[in-house]
Order: sequence, then structure tokens, then C-alpha cells
Amino acid sequence: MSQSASILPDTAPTTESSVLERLPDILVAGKNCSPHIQQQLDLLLLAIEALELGASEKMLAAIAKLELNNIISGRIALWRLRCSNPWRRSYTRNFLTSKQAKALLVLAALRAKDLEPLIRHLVDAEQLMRSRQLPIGNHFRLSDYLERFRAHFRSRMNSRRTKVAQYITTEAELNDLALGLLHKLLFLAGSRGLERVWSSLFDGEV
Amino acid sequence: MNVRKQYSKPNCNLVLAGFDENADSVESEVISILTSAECHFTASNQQLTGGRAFIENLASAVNGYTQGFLSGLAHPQDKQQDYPQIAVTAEAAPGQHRITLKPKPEESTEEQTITLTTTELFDLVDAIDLLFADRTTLPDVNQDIEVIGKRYRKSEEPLGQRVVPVFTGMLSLAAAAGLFFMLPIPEARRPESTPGTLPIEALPTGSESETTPLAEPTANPETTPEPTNSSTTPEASE
Repeated sequence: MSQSASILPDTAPTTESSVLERLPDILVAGKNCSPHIQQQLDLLLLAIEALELGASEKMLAAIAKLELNNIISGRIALWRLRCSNPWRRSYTRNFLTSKQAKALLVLAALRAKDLEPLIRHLVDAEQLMRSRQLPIGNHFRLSDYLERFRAHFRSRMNSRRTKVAQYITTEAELNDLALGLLHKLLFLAGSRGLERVWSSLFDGEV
Repeated sequence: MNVRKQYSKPNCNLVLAGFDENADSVESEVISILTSAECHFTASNQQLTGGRAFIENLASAVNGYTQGFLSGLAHPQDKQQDYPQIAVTAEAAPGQHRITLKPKPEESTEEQTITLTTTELFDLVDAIDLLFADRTTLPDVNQDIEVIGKRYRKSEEPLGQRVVPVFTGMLSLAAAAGLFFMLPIPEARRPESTPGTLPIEALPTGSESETTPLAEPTANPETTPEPTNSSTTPEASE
């Protein structure tokens, strides 16, 4: 006799305390995040903005849904946290606390879960174009995402920074950055993706 | 009683069969003894099979590779004691990942290799994560996500570019030292002092206007010098 069971991820509602506690405290107490982590978090959110129109409104709705209002009180607070990315034109030179970084990643994870079918479709499309040795930009949906990402990147990042200038001048490198972020968003949407991406941010940092 | 569990994702089905060693009733859904594990990739029609060592090694290899894929820093893969030994590596073509199963050396079977796309890898990782989240399947097995330290960090600049400033600095220092070595050492001469000259005469001429004029030496030391009508006194400036 045999039994069969199919296990699906639970979709129970989450609160701020429960969702942030899922992530381990990797930083030493009292220390803030490194600029590299801040940069990665902002870029993930930038990729989400390139994936859907009206992403900022949906992020604000997600903040309310996750009850993260005491960490990200509104649109300006979210913008200020994102401006901790050293590549930004409006870089604030602030350092994110562990809690703020967790809140930004949880926000990105929730949006990535909602966008998982689209992300999956785009990653498959990239693979298809590569296997057929066709330019990636020939795929309509993928081209749309890459174009929007490039536009957001050019308008918000400081072109006087060497690395940013390199990305802006070389379209292929900027496309690779956008595709790399798309892969990260795919893994972020997984059942344990939040922990995986959170840990990966600290690789080589501690 | 055999229990069969399936963890399904769009591109990957992980099917585990086994039984509970402490089962008191036929209703138990726990798998503590694994009899077989199968991993089907539906899109590419590939399959991997094995037992407990297979699933543990697969989970460990995929976990380390995925963390390296996400961070860009390759994670050191644990040395696997049991066979089949499993390694996950990146293919030369972007977006492709290779899983290699190395059987026992005494077995006549050959190495098995399959290639996965990024979405298939994601589905495999997610299926394994679902398996470990289910505490009724292999409850004694855990999977930790580890962070690697600073010594694994690669610099964005290649080593060749990083050593150029060091060598340039050392070369210029050596060149400057060589030039200074060839210059003659200046002879040290004591200042010639003529007897009877007052020290006041050695003062630089440019500072004469700024310094307070000194009283001329008088022949009669008892007479006090008259106060000079200097324009720098506060009374004069008012």
C-alpha cells in the first residue's frame, strides 16, 4: 500500500515581526550594511520597476500589506532608503541598518512572488534566444524589460562613477546586469528565496 | 507501509518513496527511511535517480552552487563521502548548469551528466527547499544556507591592473633615490662671524618696517630712552 502527498508552499499572511525574523542577523550587532549590499538592494527594486508599470505604487501597497510602515513610512522614506545606493545621483551617504535592509529585501521578495510568472517567462525567453543564437533584444517582452531597465538606470545613476559610466556606455553590459538581476528575482520568488538572496548579499562581506 | 511524496514545480518533479521506521499506524505520512528518490525534469525530459546519499549529495551540491550563482562568488563544495558524488558546475554557455553524478569506482556504470536551464535549476532548488521544509520527510536532515567570508571575495580589478601602481611607485622611488645619490653632498660651512658686529645687523632687511625699532645703544646706560611716537600705539590710531 502506498500513499501520495503533494506539498505546496503555504501562503499564510505574514506580519512585520514574523517576516523579518525569518532572516538571520548576519551583521555584527551595531554594524550597518556595506555599500555593496545597499547597491544590490536598490538594483533589485530597480529591476522590479522595469518589469511592471506603476511599480512604486504597488511597492507602497506591499509595504502596508507587510506592516512595514514603522520602517518605511512612505514614499519619501522608501526613496531615501534606496538612495543609500552609492551609484545613485542622489546618494545620501547613509548606511542601512540590518532591519532596513531586511525590509527592502522582503518588499522585493513579495513583488517578485507576484511577478514570478512574468520573470519565469523572461528567463525562459532569454534561454530560447541564446540557444537559437538570436539577439536577446529581438524578443518583444524581454526587449521591453531591458529597455525600461536601461532607461531607469541612465536616469537615476551617477554617470561620473567609473562603473556606472562603463555600464552606460556599453549597452551589452547593462543588459547583462539587467538579466543577472532578473535571475536573482526568480530565485527570490522561491519558497526559501528570501533567505537565499539575503545570505548571498553577505557573501564576501563578513 | 510505503509512503510516496511528490514535490512538484513546473519544470521539476521530485518523488520520494520510503517508510517510517517508528510507524505505529498505517496512517503515518513520515518518511524516515528513504527507499528511492527520483528527480524528473519535464521540459527537457531528463531524470536522476538514487537513494538517500543521492538526495543528500544533490541537495548539498545544488545549495552551494545556487548561493555562488546568486552572489557571484563560488562556494567551496563539501567533500562528499558517499556515492554517487554530485557536482554542479556552470556550463560555458550562459544560463546553463551541469549536474554530474559520479558513481562508485568499483561500479561499471559511467558518469551521468545532465544540463539544466536556469528555470530548471530554480525549480530543482525550490523542490528541494519544499522537501526540507516538510518535516515529515527525512526529519533528521537539515540544510543550512551558509555565508562565505571575505577571503573568497574577488577584486573587481584583475591582479595585473592592481600591481601596476605598486610597481610604478617603487620604480619612481628607486629612480629618485638614484638621482639623489649622484648629486654631490653639499659641504657644510660654519657661518663666518666678524668680531664686534652686533646681532641686530644680522636681521633680514625685509622685516625692518614691521619690527619695533630698537633703541640705539647709548654711551650712558643710566639714561632712559625717550618713548617713540609710533603710529602703531592704540592712542595714535584712535
